Amino acid sequence: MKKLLVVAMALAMVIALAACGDSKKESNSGKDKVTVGQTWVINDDNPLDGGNPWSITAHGISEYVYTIQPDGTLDSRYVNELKQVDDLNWEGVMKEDAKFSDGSDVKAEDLCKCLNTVIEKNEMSTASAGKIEYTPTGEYTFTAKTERPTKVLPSILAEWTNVVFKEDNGKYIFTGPFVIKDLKPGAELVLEPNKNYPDSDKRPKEVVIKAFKDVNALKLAMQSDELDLAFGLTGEVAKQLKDDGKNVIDFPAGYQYYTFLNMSNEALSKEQVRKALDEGINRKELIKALNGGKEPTGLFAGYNSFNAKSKTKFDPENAAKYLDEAGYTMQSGDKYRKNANGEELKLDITTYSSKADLPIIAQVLVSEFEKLGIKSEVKVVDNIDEVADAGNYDVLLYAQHPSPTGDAGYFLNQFFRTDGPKNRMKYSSSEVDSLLDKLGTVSDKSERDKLSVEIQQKVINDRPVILTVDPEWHAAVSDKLKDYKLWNGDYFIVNPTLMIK
Amino acid sequence: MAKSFLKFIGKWMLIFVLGSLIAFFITRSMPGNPVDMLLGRYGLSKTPENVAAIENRFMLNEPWHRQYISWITDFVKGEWGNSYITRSSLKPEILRRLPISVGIGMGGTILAAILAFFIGYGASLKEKGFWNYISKGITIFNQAVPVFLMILVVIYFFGVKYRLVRFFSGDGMVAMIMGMIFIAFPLLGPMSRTVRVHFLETLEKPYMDFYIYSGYERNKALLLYGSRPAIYGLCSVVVSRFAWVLGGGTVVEFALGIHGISLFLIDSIAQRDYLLIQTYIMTVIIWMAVVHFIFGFIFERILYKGGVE
Repeated sequence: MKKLLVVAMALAMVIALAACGDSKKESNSGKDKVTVGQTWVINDDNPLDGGNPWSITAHGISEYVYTIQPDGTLDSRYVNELKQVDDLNWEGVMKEDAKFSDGSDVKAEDLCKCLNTVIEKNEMSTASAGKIEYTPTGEYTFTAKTERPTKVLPSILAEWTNVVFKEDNGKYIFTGPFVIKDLKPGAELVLEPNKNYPDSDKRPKEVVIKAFKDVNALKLAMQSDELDLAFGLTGEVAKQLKDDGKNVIDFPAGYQYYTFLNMSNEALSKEQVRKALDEGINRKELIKALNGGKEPTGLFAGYNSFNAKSKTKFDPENAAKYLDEAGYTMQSGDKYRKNANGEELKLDITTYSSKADLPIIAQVLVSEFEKLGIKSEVKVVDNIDEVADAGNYDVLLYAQHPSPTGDAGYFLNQFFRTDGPKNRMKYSSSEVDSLLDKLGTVSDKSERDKLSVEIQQKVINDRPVILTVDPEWHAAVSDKLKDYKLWNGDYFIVNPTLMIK
Repeated sequence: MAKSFLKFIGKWMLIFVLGSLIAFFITRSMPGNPVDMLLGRYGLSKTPENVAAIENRFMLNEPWHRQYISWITDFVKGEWGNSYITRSSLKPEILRRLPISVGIGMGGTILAAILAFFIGYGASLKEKGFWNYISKGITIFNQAVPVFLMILVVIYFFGVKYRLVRFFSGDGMVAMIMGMIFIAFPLLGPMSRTVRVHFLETLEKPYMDFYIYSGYERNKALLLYGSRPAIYGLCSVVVSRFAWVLGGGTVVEFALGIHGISLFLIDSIAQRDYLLIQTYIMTVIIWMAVVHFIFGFIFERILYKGGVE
């Protein structure tokens, strides 16, 4: 018996030692290697397939023609000037120093060819201005002709479909700070510096990106020093890592969390009820629950020049007064307000879990509503767009990046124009519609900013949406990436600032 | 033999057809659809043009019967199509991930079976002995502590606190081996109890008294003559586990970041990737047919021929 047990235990020991032994081969990443943990890794590098252009850019392999900067402005390594000739025609002059990773120059012919291919092969690229035809007119000059009028071609060129690439014998060549060395689809990506990108000698010799599905595993991998960058942490996990002495970068998400109100709901159709919700919510509680973020002043992230500078107000007494005025009163002994027919005021909050912060906010909102005497429940659904489109909600808690391309027009038109495709609040304002029409005719940046602020102010006053949180997202970094910069949410997880100290 | 083989084939053909119909309709009865998911993913509005472009790309605008016939015909021909979401070709992706899930699942099950045999044998020797307490303890522990929590605790102590194992580094071998251990551990309790019961049954047999009176040491005699029925009982547990290895390791794959087929399924359900979910379900049906063929059809006949009942 003893011999048999020894055999069994030896088997278990061999397996356990194999695990330990194998792991010891991989000691610390070393100075020239950086390991990144995030929730996904690309399956291939085809820039014309589905959401791949966005993914490969987030991995630092490719770049958009224009890239949004941390301050919300647009910049391009490829285009020096884009001039509008008339409603449909543009003329472009390129910069002459950008190169593909194979060392060849990015010329007008290359840029036009890749953008025309994107238009032809990726139907999502025609969403903003229809089909666009790019034609080289010189070595570094080109023209663009849009199917529908637009005033913001640079913003369109910053959209996620428009990456710079060329094809060489069935292989894609890009212009980002890193190139692919090895890829295990969906699981692990190994990058090395693009030698033809500025400051390539300052970058780590190898960047390994690993996919983690579980945020707890991501946290543990960071705690065991197996990662140099852990991206996609919840506020709670970020706090735990901070408490553990790890470096945590808190950066403006770009994404905004909105509380949309269904104005076809009987209670929410009343202005006084919407005002009560706006003034009755203590946003400091929301920020505390998320372990970060700011009180919003407009519909966009605070760093945008076109964000409104409105100030939110927390006044529960005033909120109670508004609800009384709206006919929802609190009788002695009651927990919830009732209307004249004796019906309780009930507003359910519908949200989804793929943005981990939202269910947390929803729970805090329930308690804030309860303080106002409003009965509420959280409904977490996984088909949020279907539910929202059908109008099957009272209060919709939703995350959206309103300005990924540095312009306010697209978001405002989609969400707040009467019958706009994402106007699920059933909001209608002739004043907002006419301001949006005007915005569509203006190309001057400061004039557009001014109009965008004016539209927001009107929307904020009408309250089809309640400004909720201007969130911060979090990433943990090792000491060698202490100076790493992150911005615009998850658009540039690996970016040109990835350099070894 | 030929008749029962044909019966086996007929049964699994029927399961295949019914399974494909269920897979097809169950995906479409889920709330949400791939069009909304894709539009949401790309941040695009739900305009008729955008919806039509996506529906057209995936044939979702065709009548259901045409979608079904087209899918199942292609599947049988080995053309499994592309994922709606990632656009990657499903066949190489599934075939690449399948050995990972099967490896962890089967490796874990075999490891559990080997250890369970010895623990179960030890547990059968003495009611109040060390191995019986171990067997009972593991069973109770696994009922009380979820595997997911156990994995996190183990990673914390061995990976973070004492730095003995680097779970997330290297080429994934560590995660694979640890995955097998985590699959094996919850199986140890029930398997060792099964083995114990079989050994105890053997102890009750009159011929055991004969061996002991003949001068055999009790424990040796039990191991010699009780092993075969114990292994047979263990095999029946192992076979049923093998049929479920594809879905059984989901939690382990999720927690350890092992990119097997189960993790693929979680993503595909979240994204309403109909084609991928359907292909996964059909792969599971084929796998179960293979397992039942090997163990239920071939092994059973070999063992019966060998006289074990």
